[in-house]
Amino acid sequence: MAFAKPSIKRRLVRYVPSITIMVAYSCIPLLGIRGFWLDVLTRANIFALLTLSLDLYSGTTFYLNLGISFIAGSSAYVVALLYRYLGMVPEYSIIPAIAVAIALSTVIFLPSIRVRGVYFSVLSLLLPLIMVSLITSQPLSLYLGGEGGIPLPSLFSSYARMLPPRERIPFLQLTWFYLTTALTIVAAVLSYKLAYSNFGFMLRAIGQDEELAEASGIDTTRVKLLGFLVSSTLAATAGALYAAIRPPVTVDVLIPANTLVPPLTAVILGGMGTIIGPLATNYITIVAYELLWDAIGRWRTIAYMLLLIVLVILKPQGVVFHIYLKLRKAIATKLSSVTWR
Amino acid sequence: MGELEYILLFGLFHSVTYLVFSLGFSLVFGVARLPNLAYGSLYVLSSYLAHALSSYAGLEMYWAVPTAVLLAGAVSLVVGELVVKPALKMPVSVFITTMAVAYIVEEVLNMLMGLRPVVLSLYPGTSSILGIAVSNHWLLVVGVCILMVISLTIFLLRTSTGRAIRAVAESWEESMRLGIDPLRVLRVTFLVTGIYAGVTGVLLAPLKAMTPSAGWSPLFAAFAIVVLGGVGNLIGTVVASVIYGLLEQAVVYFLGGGIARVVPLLIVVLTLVVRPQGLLGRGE
Amino acid sequence: MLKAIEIAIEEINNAGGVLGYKVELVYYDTQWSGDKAAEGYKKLADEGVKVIFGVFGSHEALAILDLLPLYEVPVIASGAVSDAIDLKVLGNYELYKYWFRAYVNATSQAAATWDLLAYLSRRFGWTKVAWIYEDLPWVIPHALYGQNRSKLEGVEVTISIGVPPDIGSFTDVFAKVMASGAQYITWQFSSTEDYAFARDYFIGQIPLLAVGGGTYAMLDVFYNQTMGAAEGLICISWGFPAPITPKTMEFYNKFKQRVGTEPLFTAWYAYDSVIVWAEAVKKAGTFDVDKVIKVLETSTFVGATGVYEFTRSHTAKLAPDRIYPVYFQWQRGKRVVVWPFRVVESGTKLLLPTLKDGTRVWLEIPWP
Repeated sequence: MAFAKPSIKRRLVRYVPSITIMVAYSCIPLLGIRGFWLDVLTRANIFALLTLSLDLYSGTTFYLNLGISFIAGSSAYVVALLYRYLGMVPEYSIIPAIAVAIALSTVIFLPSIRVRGVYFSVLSLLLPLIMVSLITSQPLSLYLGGEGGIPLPSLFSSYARMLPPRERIPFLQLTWFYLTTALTIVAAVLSYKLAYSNFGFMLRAIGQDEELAEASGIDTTRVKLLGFLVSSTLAATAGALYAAIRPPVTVDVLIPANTLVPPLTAVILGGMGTIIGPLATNYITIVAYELLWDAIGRWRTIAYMLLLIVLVILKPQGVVFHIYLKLRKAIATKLSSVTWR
Repeated sequence: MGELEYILLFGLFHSVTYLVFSLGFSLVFGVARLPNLAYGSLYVLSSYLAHALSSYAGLEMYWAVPTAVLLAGAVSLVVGELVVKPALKMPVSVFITTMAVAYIVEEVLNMLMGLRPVVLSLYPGTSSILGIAVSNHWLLVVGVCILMVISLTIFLLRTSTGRAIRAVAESWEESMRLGIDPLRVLRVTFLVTGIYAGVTGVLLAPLKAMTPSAGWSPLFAAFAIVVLGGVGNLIGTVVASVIYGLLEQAVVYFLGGGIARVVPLLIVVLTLVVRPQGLLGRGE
Repeated sequence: MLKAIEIAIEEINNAGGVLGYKVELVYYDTQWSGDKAAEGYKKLADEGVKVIFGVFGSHEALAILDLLPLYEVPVIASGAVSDAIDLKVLGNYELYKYWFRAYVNATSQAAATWDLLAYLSRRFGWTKVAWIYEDLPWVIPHALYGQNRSKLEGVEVTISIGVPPDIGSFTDVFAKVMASGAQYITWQFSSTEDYAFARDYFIGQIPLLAVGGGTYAMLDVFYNQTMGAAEGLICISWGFPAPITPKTMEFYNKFKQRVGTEPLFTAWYAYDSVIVWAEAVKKAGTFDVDKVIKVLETSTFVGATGVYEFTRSHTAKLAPDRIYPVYFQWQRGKRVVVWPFRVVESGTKLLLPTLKDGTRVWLEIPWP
């Protein structure tokens, strides 16, 4: 952390790359990328929220909040259930769903926040699995949709129906893309600010040595709780959006392999706690995964997993962030050599 | 036929198999301090290897099976070397890499053998125990399992390697100070536990038919048992296996199959909430 | 499934293609996930495919159903038996008319089983049946159907037992069945329970006829795999190597030669779905979706598993002269067809179990 405030110009220059990226990303549809790939990017946006959620809390404190699948899943199911039993369309139910999911997860995880070590992680991993079993067995399956899940009209679909048929899908795809992109940008900026602030410092201190942090006067329980809340909000938002944009809501959203492993991978490969790394990795892996299908078809799961193993082993501290730092250094040296001419 | 007899008998049958399987899992967990999510794959792999050896290499079953088990141990060793050892610094990484290995094995087996489950030869004959007609294969299973448990006990208590393993499980630093190379111990642990997982697989394949995704539910069960008994505590694992086996049979008998899926998960949750160190584990 | 579809496409292309066009296969693996199924549908629709086959899981089908009216690419599934899909088609034809199922729905599956159970009841005077099933959601429509049909036929279901898919022993299950006074058994599995079931049926010397369905019990290798324990079991088979239609044995032999193993029932119906569509397009003379739909709704098509006539909910009609399963009994290593009678060979015998001096023996009865 710098002690002197850098000049306005310096600060602006620092933000130029990120702003450029954000603007460029928002312009993707204008380049003609539509249809399937726009969908993929929308999905990547939602997963970015999950990745940020995980990195902000677990990346710093090393408390693996493996329960993000539970939080996201509950949020998704609340959206679905609000439609099924109260007729509420997603436009209105997203916010209540997020609130309910946050409340629910806080209540459930509150006792374990005090618990140290692996137990928190294990517990958070099992909860979604138990929910899956409960939802798919009788008699709850009749009320909660069972394996087929709960259908609901997708976000803005009522507006879409007012358009001529040919324009409906593009309209929906574009609105979803921009909505999720906007939210992701906001979330990314917020997470970045938090992670590199005093608060973030306290989170990392807990991650390094919790007892030492306590001894230095940090109220670890409160910090953990706050961090957990922010993390849950992000995960809950992701879940609600997922339900609203990709119905029907099925137990797929609760299965860790679907909603936990990709963000976890992104966090690990990207560099735990760096925010930038995991965020970038998230997009890279999702797009690459789809590209792999075009390239090698049925072998893609195996190829993807192999790649994962190799990358994790090679650089446990995070490949992507490492590359990012190298790039930044290279550009900085280039720039300074130019300036000092 | 009495309900009690049935639950007791088959509960114990399942308990011994869970015991052998969980002992391996517990050992790796204790030594490496990390859960080996690829453990279930070894359970599946040994049966497929045995099938391949007997169908394509023409080996007789009683040669194919032990070879397959040893091969499973070898695979476990390789996995440990390539995938776990380099990532030891970051426990989370091991979680991901071993899970990736498990998925790869499952995918490969799926592609090769798809919807064709592997059934190995059943030990012939039936006997009547407690008034229930039971396939003699179960007796073979129990016999082999008890042998495996006894050999493991002797191995851990009497041999120098075994003692080294226990030392490393206790504390890496201490054992290094005593001149023990924890990485070598890790290697042996992976080999041995791979064999134990493999044995469980080939013992049960004749009874249940093996599919590529069959490794996950024993893994969950082993996890529940290890947590229940206390991580690193082998006697705890024994006790927990018995409880688990009997409990599972009772639940299936009275409540049907669907609910039984939740049993291991609930056990873990309850244990962690009520008594996180398990029944016999040391406090953390 | 993929191989069967490839075989079908090859045949079509060799015969000149569809309306002069060669058929090209593009595919997407849904990995048993509704999410991925939706992804796949959108991707393939984007690429401009004319029709989509496959879609085996009901939850996958439900996930893509609402995409159909948006993209207007028809789906001819060879699975996805959930009645919920049928109800949707009936309830909102304009939206879901793009959905077709070249197979029967769950209720029809149950009905086919009960046709035989009812006949056995009348023939032997049995009024009590025991029901053993895999405790998973897909069984529910079977349960509901059974409840009603059994009452109609005057048969009482004395006991229903749900088992987990990875069950290792049926000993207690059979004990409960015997204790309930059942005179015959019906069973329903989709995973590897078949093996343990057959084994314990044999070890326990259960003297009751067992009629049911299981994925692996119907395969040619099952008898040897269970070392003969399968003797006497009556299994349903959707798609079977018997001359049901002129195309049946041709497809069976081709598949077996190509792939090395028997086609599973999914393969049979996948093959048929392609054949049916190609014929419909030929008849319609155009690829235009609405015209092809009209042809599918109004014509009948001959496939390798039977004759396809689509009902108002766009599913194949269940009838012995339309789409119908075959029931066979394992007799000394062979699969002997025992139902429906139009497929049964003359001179067939049915094996009935009975107890003699404490051991189970099989009586041979002329059949039908």
